[in-house]
Amino acid sequence: MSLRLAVATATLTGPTDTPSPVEPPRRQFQFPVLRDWAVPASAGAALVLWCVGLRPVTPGQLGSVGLVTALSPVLLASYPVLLAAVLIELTAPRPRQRLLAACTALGVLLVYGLQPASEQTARLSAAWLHVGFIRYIADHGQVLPAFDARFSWPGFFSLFALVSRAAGVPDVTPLLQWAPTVLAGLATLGIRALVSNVLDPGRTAWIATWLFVLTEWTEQDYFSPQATTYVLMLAALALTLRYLVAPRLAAVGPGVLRGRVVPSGTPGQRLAVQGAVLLLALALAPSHQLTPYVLGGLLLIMLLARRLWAGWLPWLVLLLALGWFSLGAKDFWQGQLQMVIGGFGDVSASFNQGVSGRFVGDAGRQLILLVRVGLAGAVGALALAGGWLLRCQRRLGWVLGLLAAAPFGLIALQSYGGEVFLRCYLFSLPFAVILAAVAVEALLRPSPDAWVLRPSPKLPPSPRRRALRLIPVLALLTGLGLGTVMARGGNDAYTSFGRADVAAVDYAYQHARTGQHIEAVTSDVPLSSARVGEVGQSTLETFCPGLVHVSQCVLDTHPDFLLVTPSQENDGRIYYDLPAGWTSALVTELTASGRYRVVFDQDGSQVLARVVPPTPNEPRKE
Amino acid sequence: MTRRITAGALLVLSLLTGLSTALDLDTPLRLYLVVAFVLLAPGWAVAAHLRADRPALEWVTAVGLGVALATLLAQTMVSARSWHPVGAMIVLTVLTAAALLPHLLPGAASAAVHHLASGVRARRWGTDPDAKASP
Repeated sequence: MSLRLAVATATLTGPTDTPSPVEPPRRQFQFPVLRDWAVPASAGAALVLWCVGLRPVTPGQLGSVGLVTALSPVLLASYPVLLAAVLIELTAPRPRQRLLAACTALGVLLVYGLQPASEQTARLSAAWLHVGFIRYIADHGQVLPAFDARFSWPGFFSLFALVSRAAGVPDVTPLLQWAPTVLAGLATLGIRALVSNVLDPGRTAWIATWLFVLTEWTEQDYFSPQATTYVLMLAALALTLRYLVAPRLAAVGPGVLRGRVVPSGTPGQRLAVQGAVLLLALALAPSHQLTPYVLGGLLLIMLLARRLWAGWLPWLVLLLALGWFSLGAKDFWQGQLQMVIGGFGDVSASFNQGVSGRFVGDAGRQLILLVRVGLAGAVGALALAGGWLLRCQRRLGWVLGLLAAAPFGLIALQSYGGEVFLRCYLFSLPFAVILAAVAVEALLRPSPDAWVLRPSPKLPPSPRRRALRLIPVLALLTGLGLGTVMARGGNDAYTSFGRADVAAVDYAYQHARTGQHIEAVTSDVPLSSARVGEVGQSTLETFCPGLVHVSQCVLDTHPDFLLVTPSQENDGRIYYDLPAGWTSALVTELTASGRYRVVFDQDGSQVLARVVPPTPNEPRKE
Repeated sequence: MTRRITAGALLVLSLLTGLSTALDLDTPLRLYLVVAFVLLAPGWAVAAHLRADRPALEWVTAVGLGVALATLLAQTMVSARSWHPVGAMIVLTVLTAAALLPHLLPGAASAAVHHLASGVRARRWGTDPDAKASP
């Protein structure tokens, strides 16, 4: 009877987070004494390996598999070393929370700081475009109407326009390079706060936090509205789960409650938290197209599951988002409402654009796509296993499962420019990693009986057997981590830039007159980072499908300046199957035509300027 | 004690940000100072009143609220076409510094202020905080 009571108590308080009553005190083993210094030493060794293994990388050095081929084995060894340290600490009877927090911060640096530390400048053309939007608002104090859909949700751009003006700088370019590390770190902090309010802040919660760090391959953490609003959404969810949800999402109890339960805490705290969530929703509404709806939807699921105490909260969050869409984003939907709602219910279109349509390009690119699908599949499989284990433990798993699955409902609403699966995965992760962590944590338990918290008749395992049990978990986590490193750097041959690329774009900005046009062949250029709305800036990709007869396309559009860079060369080879040296051939053809000449050339980055003005019967084709 | 040290550090950050903005100091560090201020100070000044029991929750709330407050301030100016970023940032630093001051009070005084505030709220809403049982 007393054993049953002990098991029930362990289940209620979170089975993984309290030492087993039969576990011997820490000092009786030699292994824990070794662990006291071995764990921080291993984490330090991981940092040293990473720093020693770092090499400067430029786009010209990379092939279709991306960054991973340019990484040294010494650097790659840092990941299993750090993960081994974390797992050893997690299996201690009393894991040191500050040490685990420091290891997690180090993990964020190792995974998300890799590109900022090894590449010359910030990557992803969209990040540079955002700098241009911010600069426009900072200079004019308003958005540019009917220019870009993203200007209809300008909260993030307005925020950094305020920051840049208050800091007295012309633009926020210095923030770009390390933004992914900072934003991923803040998201990890949010995940830690969130999971600690679903599970107890012990072993399973740490594993969930680490699973997030090791499987967030979507690269939506660059300097962007979605990365910032993701942190705001996690803050709102963590606050809600701590102060406004009862019983806990993974608590023991009946699957369906008859009435809502008042959460612990004072009325003052609950009132303040509702105000805080409302403030976060107010900032989300004008800042991103999807995030406020996802937050409202997740809160609605908690309400329908009778876990959310504040019944009006999800409705108000959704109302604010719809209010901004109706009034603030009028520029966006006026005249193109069909585009907004046309994809409603068209799951196959979303699938084609989001999955099958992306499987183009050479073998290396397809391998990267398979790694991404594999990572998402692994998280999904682990989450399913975790849900099954929760069910066996008589804990509530279905609400968590529903919260993890719900973001995939976006597929039925919009293809979101082919990115909807990526966004669904990102929004699903906070709850999927909780379920997955339950499964991973079970692997650290001594026997299948312990997986479902049945009392095991066996004696506690020896330290050696405990250490052996870490090996499959270490292999799993290392595989996920290295897979994420590979997936995140998979497009770096064309999404990363060198200093020469930035210098080429700056040259074009300095020499272009108002109303002139700067063009790039593909979108892999740090373009639109300045003079937005003043100088035309575009790419040939949409006008020249497949980049067939590209020199003729340039002559037809006759831009005033043309940018040709190594990243574009790589994109053409990898994505469009063009022969190596196609950009050199293009430059030769254009200069031979007598209409263009090379005015800037640095490390393979070139600017061509038009020398012959177009005749009146040569209108620009767009 | 930790709370007072944090409040003190954030007060210094707020004052440095306000002064560097008002005096238009020409240093590349100013951008990072302003970003650190927006991320940490205004949100913590509000979030610390919640007395969150876990540091991760306290800090992610602080960052979220800080970004939200600054976003709303900036967006209001843009939507109203009344763009005064330098003045707005100085006002935000002054208000944040004022909101941080109560956290610097000695423990007993700070607790009294907090107790008074929650007592007023509890009476106004007429509910007993922890007495309600599950239906």
